[in-house]
Amino acid sequence: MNGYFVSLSMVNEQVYFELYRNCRADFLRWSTFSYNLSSEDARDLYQETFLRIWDNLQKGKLQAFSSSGRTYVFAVGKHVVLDFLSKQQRLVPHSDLSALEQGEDLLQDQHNSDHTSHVIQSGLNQLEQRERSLIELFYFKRLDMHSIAEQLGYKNADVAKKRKYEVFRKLCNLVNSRIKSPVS
Amino acid sequence: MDIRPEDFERFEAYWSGEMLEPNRQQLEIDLLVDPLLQQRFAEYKRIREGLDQLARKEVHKQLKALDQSLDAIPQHRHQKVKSKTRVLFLFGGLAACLSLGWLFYPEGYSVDNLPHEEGIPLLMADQDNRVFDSAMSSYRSVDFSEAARAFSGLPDMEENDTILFYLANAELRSGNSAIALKHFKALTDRRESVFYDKARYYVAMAHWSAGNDREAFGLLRQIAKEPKHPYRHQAQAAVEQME
Repeated sequence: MNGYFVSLSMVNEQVYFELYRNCRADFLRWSTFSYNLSSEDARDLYQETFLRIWDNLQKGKLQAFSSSGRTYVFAVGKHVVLDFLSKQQRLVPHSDLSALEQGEDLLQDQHNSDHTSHVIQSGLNQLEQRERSLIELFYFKRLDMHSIAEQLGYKNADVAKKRKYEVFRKLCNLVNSRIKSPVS
Repeated sequence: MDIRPEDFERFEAYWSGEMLEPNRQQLEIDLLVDPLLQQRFAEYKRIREGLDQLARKEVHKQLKALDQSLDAIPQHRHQKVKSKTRVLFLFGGLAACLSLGWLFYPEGYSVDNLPHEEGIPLLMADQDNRVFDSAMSSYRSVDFSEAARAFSGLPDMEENDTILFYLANAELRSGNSAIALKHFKALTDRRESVFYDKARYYVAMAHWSAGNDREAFGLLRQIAKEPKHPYRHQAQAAVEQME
C-alpha cells in the first residue's frame, strides 16, 4: 500500500498544474482547429480532461506521470472531445420515453451525490483541525502517510495510518447521524 | 455499521486500484457472500465517493482560477483590439487599411505567446535565500502577482540578473507590461548576462502586450532571423500571427 502512495505522492500538485499550464495553449489550438470547437467549449473540455486525469490518478489507473506527459493529456483530451461531440450530435426523439427516464435518473443521481458531498463537507467541518487536515492531506492532497506523519507531528506513518482509520470512522458516524436514509 | 480496521485497509486498497488481482478477486467474492461485509463496503463507498467528489470540486476550482489567471492578459488585450477595430471601421475605413502601418497591424497578443520559463528549483536553498525562495516558489506556482511583489522586495533586485529576469517575467505574466518592459530593457543593457537574448525577446512581448505593436513587430522580425536565438521559433510564430 505504501509503495503505491509513495509513487502517487510524486504526482504532486505542482507537476499536475504545471502540466495543465504547459499543454493548455496547444490543446486549445488543436481542439479548436481540429474539431471546430468554440474557444469556450475548448476551455471547458480542457478542464474536463484534467479532471479525468485526476479521476484516473484517484482510481489508480495512472500511477505516475511527469511534466512530459503531453501525449497522455492529448490522448485523454481526444476522448473528452469526442464524447462531447457525440453527446451534442445525439438526437433524442420525443417519443423515446426511456431516454427521458434515463435523464431523470441521472438528475436524481446527481442530486443524491451533491447531497452526500454536502453532508460530508459538514462532517469534515465538525472534525478537529488536526483530524480534518489528516483527511484532507490524504484524500485531497494525496500525500503519503510518511509525509502526513511528518507534517502533522505523528510519531511515524503507522501511527498516522491508524489515526486515519479512526478519523474516517468518526466521519462516518457524523455523516450517518445526518443522513436518515439507510445505506443502500 | 462499524467498519473494522482490517476491512478498512482492504477497502482503501481496492478503491485506490492498488490491490493485486488475486486479492481483488477474493474481496469481490467475499462481498458476494457476506452481507455484513457488503454493508460495511457500502458505508465506506458512500464516504469515499463524497470525499473524492469534494477533492474533484477543489481541483476544478483551482483549474478555473488558473484559467482566469492565464486569460487575464489576453481578455484585456482583446477588448482593446475590438474597440480599435470598431474605431477603424467607423472613422478610418479604407484609407487606414491602405496605409502601410495598418497593414502590419498586429493582433492577438496572448499570454500563450510567452514561452514557459520554468524558474529555478529550490533544492539548493539555504537560510539566506528564504525570501528569494518564497518569491521563486510563488513564481513556480503560477502566482505571478505574489512573485512580483516578493521579487521586487529583494535588496539586490536591480543588480542581480536572475532576480530581475524573473521579476520582469512575473510582471509581464501579471499584465504589468510597462514595469516588465522597464526591467527587461535593463537586462538588454547587460550583454554579458545569460538572460540577454531572452530579455530582448521579452522586450518585444512586453511592447506587444502594452499595445506598442510596431516596436514589437520590428524586434520580433529581427529575432526570428537570428539562427542562434533561443526564441527564434517563437518570434517567427509571433511575426506570422501578426502578419
